[in-house]
Amino acid sequence: MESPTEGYRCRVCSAPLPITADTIAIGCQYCGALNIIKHDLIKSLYLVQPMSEESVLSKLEERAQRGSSPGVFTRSNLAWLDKVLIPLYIVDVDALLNYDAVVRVYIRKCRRREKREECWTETKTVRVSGVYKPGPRSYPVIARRGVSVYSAKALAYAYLTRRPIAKPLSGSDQESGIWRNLLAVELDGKTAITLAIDEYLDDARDKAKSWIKREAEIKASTWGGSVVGSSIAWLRLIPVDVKSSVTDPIAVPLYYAIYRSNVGFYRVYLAGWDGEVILMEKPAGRLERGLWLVGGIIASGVIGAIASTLPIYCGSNGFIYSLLAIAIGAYTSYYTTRKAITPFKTVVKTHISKIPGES
Amino acid sequence: MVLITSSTTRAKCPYCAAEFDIPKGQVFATCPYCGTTFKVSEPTASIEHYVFTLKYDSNKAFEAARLFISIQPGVPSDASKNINYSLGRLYYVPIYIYEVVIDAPCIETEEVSSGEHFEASVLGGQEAVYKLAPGSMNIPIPIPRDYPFPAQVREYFKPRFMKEAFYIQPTIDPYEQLGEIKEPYLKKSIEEAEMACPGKYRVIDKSSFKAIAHYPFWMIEYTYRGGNYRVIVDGSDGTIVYAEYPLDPMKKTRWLLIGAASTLIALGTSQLIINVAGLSTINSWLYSILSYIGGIWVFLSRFVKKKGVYMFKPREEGVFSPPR
Repeated sequence: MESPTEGYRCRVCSAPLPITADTIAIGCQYCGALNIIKHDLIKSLYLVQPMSEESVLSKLEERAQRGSSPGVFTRSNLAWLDKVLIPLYIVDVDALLNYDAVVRVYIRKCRRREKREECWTETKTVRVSGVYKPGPRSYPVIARRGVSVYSAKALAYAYLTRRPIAKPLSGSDQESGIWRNLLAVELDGKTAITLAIDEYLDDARDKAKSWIKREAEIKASTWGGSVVGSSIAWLRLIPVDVKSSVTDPIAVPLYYAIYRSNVGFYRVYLAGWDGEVILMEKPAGRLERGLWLVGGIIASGVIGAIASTLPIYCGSNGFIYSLLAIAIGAYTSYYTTRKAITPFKTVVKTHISKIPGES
Repeated sequence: MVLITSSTTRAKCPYCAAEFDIPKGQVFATCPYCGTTFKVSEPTASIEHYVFTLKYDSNKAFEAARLFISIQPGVPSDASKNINYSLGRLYYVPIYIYEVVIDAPCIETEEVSSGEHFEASVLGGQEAVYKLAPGSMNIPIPIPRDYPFPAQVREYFKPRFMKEAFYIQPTIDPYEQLGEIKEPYLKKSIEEAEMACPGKYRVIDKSSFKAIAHYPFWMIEYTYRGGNYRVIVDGSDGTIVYAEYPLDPMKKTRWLLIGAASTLIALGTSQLIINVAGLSTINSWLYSILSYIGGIWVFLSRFVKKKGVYMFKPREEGVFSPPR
């Protein structure tokens, strides 16, 4: 059966286009021309000009010469090089959060009675209200449905951080072969706004809750004692004055290379406009692996010694603390031994702190 | 080749009217003549059915496997040269694509929305996410949970895919599965709306089952000095998903000796600390060895066996998944 989207052909070379019901724009796999399928959902497309393959490889080689593994990232070891154009929307979001909350604050109080100190915990109920301002924020939203791999997200945040020049397309640009590597655009600007607002508000709500608890704890601390914690008993949190705007999609280049040497193979993702590393594997030296092994042995030895003393020094809870210490020791030795044995690689990530949910 | 595991029933294609056998209890059927995919209980409902492009043929998949195996710990030095291809089977594994979009706007909200701008006086709850899930419980090859399948699709399904490969029928009801998938998002959206405008919001659930997609995996079998081993390779991008590999007895012994020495050093470290600090202890040897049990487990599980086994770990290696 011919599906409703089958039969589309490239406007330049007439090759069949593998489009689906969601495709907004796609590059032809044969001639590389850009084909916009849904003109109502896309006004223009911007392009960040990629560096040549030659320049990217030179840059990586140069960087490797300065690092600990100069022999691996050489032209003779290059097994695979690929370039992808990732379409992004940049969405600006701003909002305020009106809050009204009842917070239980736990306060520890102590007093001296006949040379003995007595301590107890009191619960105070505090009501706080106000406006939390998370401030404006920009989000890169990948215009491809469901792309959530680290490499694409890291590229998006690298783009946002460094903002290389993106130029709108001219007619001749659309027919240059570069679009062969474009990931088809599947999301429209409106969907990108929805996704960005969701992310912004999820983050803002979490921050607002911490802010509310802190405010209540500060209020409660004026009543004496020391605050040991708090929990929100009731909360009204209203996002108001939500404003968002989205750019046209921007095609951002990403290079992916695999190097093969006699000690393994190593993958590298590079920002396509300046050749900076987004994500790379490099060989883990014998010294590094040895340090993991020795570090794990010493840590487990120390924890084992502590665990065996806890039942004696910590009274009735000593056995439980001891089990906890053994669990920590066992996990430490498991993790470090795995690092020492496999893989024989170190992963270098950049822009990690910028990416929500990554640590 | 269609994997049929139970007794069959007769189905009729709503597009070309061809009749063919399908396993009983199957949710979807794909016509082997015209490629139309339809819901068995509701043949007239149209279903989008895609397939991810196969970019690795069996030779390329074997080469990727050979390279990967040669760098595993404990592998004989000559493995790269002396492993021999014996069999390659292509499987098409069904996955379901879902779009979860739940909006819970406050009734009093005023929204202004154009293509590029959005403004709202008040917002309630909202969640939007794309999800993928396996379409069958009977997948005969080991694919890790949470394997990062790409969500985007490549080409429409054609009947030839059923003839060229082991085609695994989707058996899970996607509409039931959608309920489970969207449940946490629905709950979160309502919680957000309750916080913003308690009792004064609407819930608009636009979540949908978007499509079935079949994803290619190669099962490659190879031999090394009389032993048989299997490797599963992602046919779309060459990721090694699962690999069995030979272990060199000398290298295994060396690693196990390192493991024994490590255990003794860990024990010695504990005893040294206890003696130097003059600590009172109970069963100090037992506690010390338990603290190093994780390390001992790694050495034993890797090197006290005939074959080495690698399994792709999405949390650790998913970072290198290409943006397909």
